[in-house]
Amino acid sequence: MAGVVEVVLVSLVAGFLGSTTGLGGASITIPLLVLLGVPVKHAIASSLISVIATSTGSSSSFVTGGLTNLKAAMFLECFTITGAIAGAVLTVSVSPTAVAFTFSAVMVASLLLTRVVRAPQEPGAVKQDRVAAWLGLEGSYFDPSLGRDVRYRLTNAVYGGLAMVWAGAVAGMLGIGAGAFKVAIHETVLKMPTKVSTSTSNLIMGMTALAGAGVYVSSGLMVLDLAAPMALGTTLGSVLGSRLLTRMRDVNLRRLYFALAAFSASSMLYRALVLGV
Amino acid sequence: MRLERVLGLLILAGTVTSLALMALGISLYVLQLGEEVSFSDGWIVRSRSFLEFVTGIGEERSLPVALMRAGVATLMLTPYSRAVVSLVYFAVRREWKFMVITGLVVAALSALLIFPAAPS
Repeated sequence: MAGVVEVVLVSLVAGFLGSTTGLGGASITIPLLVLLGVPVKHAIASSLISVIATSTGSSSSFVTGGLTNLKAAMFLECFTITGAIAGAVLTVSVSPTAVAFTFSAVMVASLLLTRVVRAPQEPGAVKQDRVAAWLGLEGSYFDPSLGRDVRYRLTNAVYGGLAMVWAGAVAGMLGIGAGAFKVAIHETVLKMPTKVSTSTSNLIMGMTALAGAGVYVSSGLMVLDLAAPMALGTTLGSVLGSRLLTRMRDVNLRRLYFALAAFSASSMLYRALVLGV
Repeated sequence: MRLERVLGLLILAGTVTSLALMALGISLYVLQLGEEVSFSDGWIVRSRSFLEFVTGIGEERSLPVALMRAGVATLMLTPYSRAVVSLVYFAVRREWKFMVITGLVVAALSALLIFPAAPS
């Protein structure tokens, strides 16, 4: 069984990687802890606290710096919290093996999404739909790698919102931020620029995880001496990661994301098939 | 002050406070109880709701448990507080569309945190 200091260190590295890529530290921490012998449902329930930590630790600087689209985040959170509550209730009800398989399948889906999702079109060229225009879902940010302000508009608000219910369900069920799905929906459906997508996804993760954690608090699955070290390590790692994000190129972030999702999928499948959960 | 600045500071304050509480709790845990993660009854959260989880902190006899509970509770309240501050901001600025949207989020989370949510 894992030690408390070991959990802090594993979570610190996972938080750093998860924050820079937008994948979320929990997608890396949960498979590692399950490999160390932590029961999968306990790891998931406790992990949502570290997802909140990842979100708050990294989003503070993003929000202050104007990289996050707060209005889009608030609109999309209506959908993700609904999904998160349903997902968490599902995990409480089904078998640990089913949860482990689902985790692995979701990580594979994240990989496929990364391959399918292309770089979003030039932000200025997006034609807004009526709902996005009515809500005023647009913004601008300074991109240091381009050396100029980038203005953007979002579109397909309703379809994006409905897709986010599913992303929220994945987050609540598996104790992860589901950054893969949120980022994919932001970029392909809402046409959000990558850096705005990553930072807005980070913020939404916190609220979504809170909804899931609200269910797990009363489920008997959350373990304090697992949740606290995970949250502590992840917070420190995500703060470090967020400081590097604006200096990194999008293409490098995508490659790192791919490698981490592949690791999480294979390790969880190995645990479920070979070692049992 | 811009909403982004207020929310950034709020999130930072919540994160730092929860981090400090949890770090202290973990340090005491390692010093008093050893390093291994324990799955015994005192460490598994068995509250009926988040509200009970918070109100139970004062009654906790073990200091490491109380500190970790307080840290986790502070962390969970941080995004909730962000939603509440956003709601007030949109109300003051009379941005009705986002006041309704944020109000829905706050109402749903409030119900979730006050009443038992997990299936029995």
